[in-house]
Amino acid sequence: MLLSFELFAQETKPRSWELKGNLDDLQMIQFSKIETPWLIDNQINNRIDFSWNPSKWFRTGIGMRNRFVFGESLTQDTTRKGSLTFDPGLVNMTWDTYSARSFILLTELDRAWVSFKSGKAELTIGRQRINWSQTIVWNPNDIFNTYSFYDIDYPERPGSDAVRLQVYPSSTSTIELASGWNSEGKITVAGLGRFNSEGYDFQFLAGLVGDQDYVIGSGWSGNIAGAAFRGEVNYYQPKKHFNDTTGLLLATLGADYTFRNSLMLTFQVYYNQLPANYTPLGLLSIYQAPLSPKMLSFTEWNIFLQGSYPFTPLFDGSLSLMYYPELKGYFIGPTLNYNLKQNIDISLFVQYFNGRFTGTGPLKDRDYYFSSCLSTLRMKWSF
Amino acid sequence: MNRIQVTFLFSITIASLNCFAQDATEIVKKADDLMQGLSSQSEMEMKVIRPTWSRIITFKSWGKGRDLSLTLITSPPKESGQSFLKLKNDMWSWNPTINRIIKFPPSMMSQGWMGSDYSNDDILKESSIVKDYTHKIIGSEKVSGYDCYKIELDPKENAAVVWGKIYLWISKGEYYELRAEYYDEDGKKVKTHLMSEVKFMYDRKLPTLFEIQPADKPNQKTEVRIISTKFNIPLAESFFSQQNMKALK
Repeated sequence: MLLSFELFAQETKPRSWELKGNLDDLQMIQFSKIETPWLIDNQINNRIDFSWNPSKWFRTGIGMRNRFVFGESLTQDTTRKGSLTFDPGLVNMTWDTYSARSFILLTELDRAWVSFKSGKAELTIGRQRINWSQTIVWNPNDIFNTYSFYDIDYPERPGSDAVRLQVYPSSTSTIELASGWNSEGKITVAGLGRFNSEGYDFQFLAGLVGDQDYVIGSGWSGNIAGAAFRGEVNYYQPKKHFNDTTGLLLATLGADYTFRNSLMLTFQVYYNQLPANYTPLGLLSIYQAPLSPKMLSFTEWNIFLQGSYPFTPLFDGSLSLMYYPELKGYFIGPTLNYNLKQNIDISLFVQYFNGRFTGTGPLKDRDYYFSSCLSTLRMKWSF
Repeated sequence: MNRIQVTFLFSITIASLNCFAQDATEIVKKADDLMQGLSSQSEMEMKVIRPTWSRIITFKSWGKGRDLSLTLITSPPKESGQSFLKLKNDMWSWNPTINRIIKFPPSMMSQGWMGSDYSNDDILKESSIVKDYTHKIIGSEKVSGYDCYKIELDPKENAAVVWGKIYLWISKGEYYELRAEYYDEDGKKVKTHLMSEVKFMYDRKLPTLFEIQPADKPNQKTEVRIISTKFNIPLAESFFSQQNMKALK
């Protein structure tokens, strides 16, 4: 093993550091109905990821996100600036660098970690992405990070301020222990074991979330008749009422299949038991990451179907559909992406929601129709 | 001709057929070994060519036997750092942007890798042209000036393969696999591989340029060029792990 590393060092001479990133501009138009007033917004984003790997046992990485946001959402919604500058981590690393009534320049560190490695063990300390997902759209097992599927501009997702120990007993298994803290200093601590058996990856986790709820969960990725078959289940029980029957169940099943002609179909159904006192915040809140991993959707049942197809390797499109039975509501999300030059992409995302806030269960107090259409044109340069 | 003579002749024919079949398998194995070695490490450049554009992707790959392989994308920037691990029949991809390992379903195997005409199966070598097929020499033909055996490959029963038939052209003295034609289960030609630019690499001479030409799209192709390669290097089995796929450089 040692010998082989030496050979590689001679052969490839990889650099000990790496600087990567992208610069993009988003032009957004949002309206409820096409004849109602349009909200016009623009956002210029720059991402820089730096990593340094000076030795076999030490690595460090920093991810910086700079955003220049301007437009009508900011001037009309007085709470928007607050939500943009909110940092969910223990250490505030999101700064309002320069702002006035019509714009804000934000600087944010969403990765800042050091990692120590000894044989099959790795210890990572700092702001990092702990990704325990198995499925595609809703990820109950991913308790250290919550995100919104509809937030198209943040594929990296927020990091958590955490200490994480990863041990790899074999080529395809992991044992992890992680402890993270949110902006209120509330701890999330959990362990996860993952292994491969009979063509399936299985994982089991247990821990405490937000110093409030105990959680146990399981997830898997495998295949049935050539199609990927994935799932995640979490069960929460409040620390305070541990002996009550007040637990919450989150469960999801998904499948994806790629046809010979490259058409890929993805299906996922998600069940999120909602707290008894839950009142929906309205559809607009879905663009923001959910505040708790206990509530990843605003309705109990969610059904997702997506078809994506590369017309050419440079030009691809997808159509996402969701159905929320309690709202009799739906989401339609077509996207188009064109690779203009080797490192430049131009993309169009349309997101249309329509729902009737009425009916059964926790949503019974509201009764109105709501629709929203957000169109985003993005030009992105990767370097 | 008496009965004994008939039996004798028959056994000779069987014996020579057997011998011929073994030869064919042996030739395919030698050609395969030439390109694989017991363990290897390579740097490659892939050019996806279409009528109005082309795209270059560079990658490194490590392999040990048929069962273990690791591939790391080194450019362009948008995809660099992504890696692919194959252990026997299981495959995973690592995406550093989202910090996640994703398990590949079998339906992804016939897909073009990184938008090329190279399938995931070609890259990750799920099936073996030596073990999963029967081999038969059906003639001799010249390819790029080399005198070649033309060998027909048929999938063995129960072998999990994507092809219905393969023809290989392997040069007689050097065992260079210079041309390969792949057919689907209905006997329709799917693609042709052409290998050329024989060069000395590490410890042997071998073709260093692969062209993949899809049969139904004559104006597009993919070229893969070996930039550097090493054979039979010490690579521990533990090198091919999920831990290492995140740490590759």
